[in-house]
Amino acid sequence: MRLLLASLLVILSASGNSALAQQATLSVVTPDKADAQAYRTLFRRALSYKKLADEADLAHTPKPHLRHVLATRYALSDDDSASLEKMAIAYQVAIKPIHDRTLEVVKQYRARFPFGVIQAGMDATPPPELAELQKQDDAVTLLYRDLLHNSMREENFQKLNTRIAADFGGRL
Amino acid sequence: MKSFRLAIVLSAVMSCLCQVSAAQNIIGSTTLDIDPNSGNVTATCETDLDATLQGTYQALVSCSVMDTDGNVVASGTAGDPDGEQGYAQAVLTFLGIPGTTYTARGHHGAIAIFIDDNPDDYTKNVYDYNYYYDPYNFSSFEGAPIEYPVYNDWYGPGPTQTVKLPSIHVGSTTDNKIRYYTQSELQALIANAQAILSPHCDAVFAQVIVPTYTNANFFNSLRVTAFLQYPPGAPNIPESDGRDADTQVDQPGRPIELFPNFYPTKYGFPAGFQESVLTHEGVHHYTGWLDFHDPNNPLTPDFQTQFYSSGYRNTSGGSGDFSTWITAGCPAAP
Repeated sequence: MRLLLASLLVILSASGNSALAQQATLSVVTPDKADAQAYRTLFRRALSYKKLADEADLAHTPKPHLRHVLATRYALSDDDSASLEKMAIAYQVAIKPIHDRTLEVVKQYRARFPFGVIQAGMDATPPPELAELQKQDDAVTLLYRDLLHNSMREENFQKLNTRIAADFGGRL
Repeated sequence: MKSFRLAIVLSAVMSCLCQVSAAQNIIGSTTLDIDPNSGNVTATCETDLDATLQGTYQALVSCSVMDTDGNVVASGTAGDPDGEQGYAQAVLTFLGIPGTTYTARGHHGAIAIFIDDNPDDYTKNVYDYNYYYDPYNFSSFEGAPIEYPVYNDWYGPGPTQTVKLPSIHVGSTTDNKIRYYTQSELQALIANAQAILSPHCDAVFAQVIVPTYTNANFFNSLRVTAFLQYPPGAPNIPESDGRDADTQVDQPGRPIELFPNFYPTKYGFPAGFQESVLTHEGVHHYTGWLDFHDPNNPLTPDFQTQFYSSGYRNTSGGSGDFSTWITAGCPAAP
């Protein structure tokens, strides 16, 4: 038991520059955090493929396959695929104020360092508000995960969720 | 004593959870998808920065797709120059070649944007080089970057470092898929097989495959056949004994298996090769006949016997002779 506790402490307190520290940290990533990362990636991809397909249509070089990338990968029905796209568009609108504020905070922070140089004695600690904005971003992402869940049949959502978690869910 | 141990463990766990809530991760993902209807390959590589990192780094991703032989067939990079997005994403899309395994690889990184004019290590000569500010020590991953399937997140362990080059590569993610023939490509091959079948072969088939053979019946039957594809690298490839294809004449619907030899290679094919193979298998599918006489199935007709009087001779002992004979126009025996 003592050995186990000692090992745990060594692993958890490892804060040096090794991959071990990363593994220890990732091992306690919460399911919600992992879900937020996974669904953020999913919604972002859905939007990117739609945008590229729309641009290709406008340029008269259609790429219809881009509209089916996620449906094929996750075996989505036409209805579920449409729900995903609709939710991704709504998500983009909902997340925009948070992204805008993040950009504002980032710009203000960077402006503190003329020519991008941190002079001696300057405090370069990133603004704590960025961490708070990340939490808001995660919360909105999880809300749209839940809305997507509600728009799909339970069985279909669970299948999708399992596949998304396998792809982008991190190492839980 | 037990409660003391418990307190230590809880404190360590809390400390770890605080690191998580700090959210200082670089997230990388790579996916490769192939559209079964068009055969288009789409590779997507993305590097995403937690908001905490966006003040001091910019996301960077480099994406490439390689074919079975390791040749780079598509590549691209993406960044987030003004940090406006918080992520960098590259999407590559192109028409794939059937039978090829495509592997996408995303190299994930961050660009440290600040110059540290006061590095802790005073052995560094700040007049010779700019030293860049790496507050979360992502440069610690550069020594031995690791590759992960599809996704990974890299937690910046700290403490603050300064680095000579602003671009920091933390690792890579990868995904791969095999490009199968699409249904429309198989239909096109069958249409071509019908177009190039010599009139003499057509007449021979009509003479031997009685009473039902007509050119239209034969190829229409081939068009609705199920094809089981086994390109190079596919899982669970049946033992093919070097054959190009095989028809499961004892199975319902007589499905046709396409083995690795059937798929394009960088050396190409002799003209009409795939079409002749499809016609060959089409005869199996249409008639249920075997390539050779089988003592265990003495009543099942075989090509050697049925087409002997038309000139077919098997000289190599391999079933491919029948395809060669079709390619040659089903000539009479010398």
